[in-house]
Amino acid sequence: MTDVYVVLKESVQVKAEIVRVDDVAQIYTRKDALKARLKEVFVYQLRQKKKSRGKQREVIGALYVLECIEKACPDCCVHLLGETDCLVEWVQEEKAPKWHRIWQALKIVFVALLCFAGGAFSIMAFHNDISITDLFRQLYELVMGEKSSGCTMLELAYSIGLMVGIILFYNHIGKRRITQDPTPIEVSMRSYEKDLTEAMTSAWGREEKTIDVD
Amino acid sequence: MTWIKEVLLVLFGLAGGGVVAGGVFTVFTAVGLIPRFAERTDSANHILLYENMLILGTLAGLITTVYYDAIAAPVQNSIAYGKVSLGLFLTILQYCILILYGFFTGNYVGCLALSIAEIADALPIMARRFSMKRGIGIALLALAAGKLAGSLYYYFHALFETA
Repeated sequence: MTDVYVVLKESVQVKAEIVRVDDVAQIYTRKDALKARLKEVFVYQLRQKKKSRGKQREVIGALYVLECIEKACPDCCVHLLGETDCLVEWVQEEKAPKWHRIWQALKIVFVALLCFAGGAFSIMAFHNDISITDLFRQLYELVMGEKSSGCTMLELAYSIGLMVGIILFYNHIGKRRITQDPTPIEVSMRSYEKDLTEAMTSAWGREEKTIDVD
Repeated sequence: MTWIKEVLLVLFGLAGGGVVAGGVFTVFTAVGLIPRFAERTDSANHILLYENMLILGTLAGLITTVYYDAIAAPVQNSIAYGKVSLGLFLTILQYCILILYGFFTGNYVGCLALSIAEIADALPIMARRFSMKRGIGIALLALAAGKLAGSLYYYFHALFETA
């Protein structure tokens, strides 16, 4: 009996039509030759669906991978670790047409403008909500005892404070990171991707489309 | 002794700015709009760019609100009294800025409104209460159409002038 440890991945992208164990899982066993052989074990043949647009996805169950390995090596004792389902995205190698890259750049510009407009809008909405110009005038008069010109060091300090706050919050100036931590949006991007994968695998399971034993 | 007062003002401004930055931008992150945009457009590797644009947008918004009297109003006056005359070019530029900014802001607010509704789980709960199995797409479309109708009604009937 040889122990084989299999860690199923959460989601993978494959280029070839044939999914092998190496694509969907990390594998460890004491014998190197066996490890190399098991990595190449065939798991699933991806087929072009009729009305497929864009990425094609399949969900492969952990037990199915276990079965494949066990068939290839009957006297192995397979230990499953990691996820219970693996989302496989089939990225077909196309000769990326030129318009595709232009389209991609346009989309990025679109989202960037959206972020710009959104940032401007929410800070303006907030400032209008609290009527910040009046507030600063009142505050200036309260402290200095004279009329404010509307452009005093209070406004300047507020602006600097706002910028410092944003930079500390997002943790980078332009492309230079201040610490090595990921930025808040990178963190929420990661958790959003995780939620997305989980939603898709459970939807596949509900429709019984998961590739699994029985 | 006015410098003590000035120090007080500066401290107040700095602290206020810092806290507002934290508050406003936590909302951005919490509703998770940008990850969605990035996922939709396959551009998760450009998140830094998006964050930078957010920061620049905030800067622009800051100038137009906090410095309204100091910057925006003088510029507006000098254009209005013909001190700066760029003729037709300026008019076209003004309309372009208005249309582009209006379009993207509307887009952003639409996404924000729906993602807040989703954060509060309003849509999934409603779908479950009415035991809707399908038709969520139609419901969403109706919601969007309602928002369009409401927004147009609001502006064309000048509902904002009630107060």
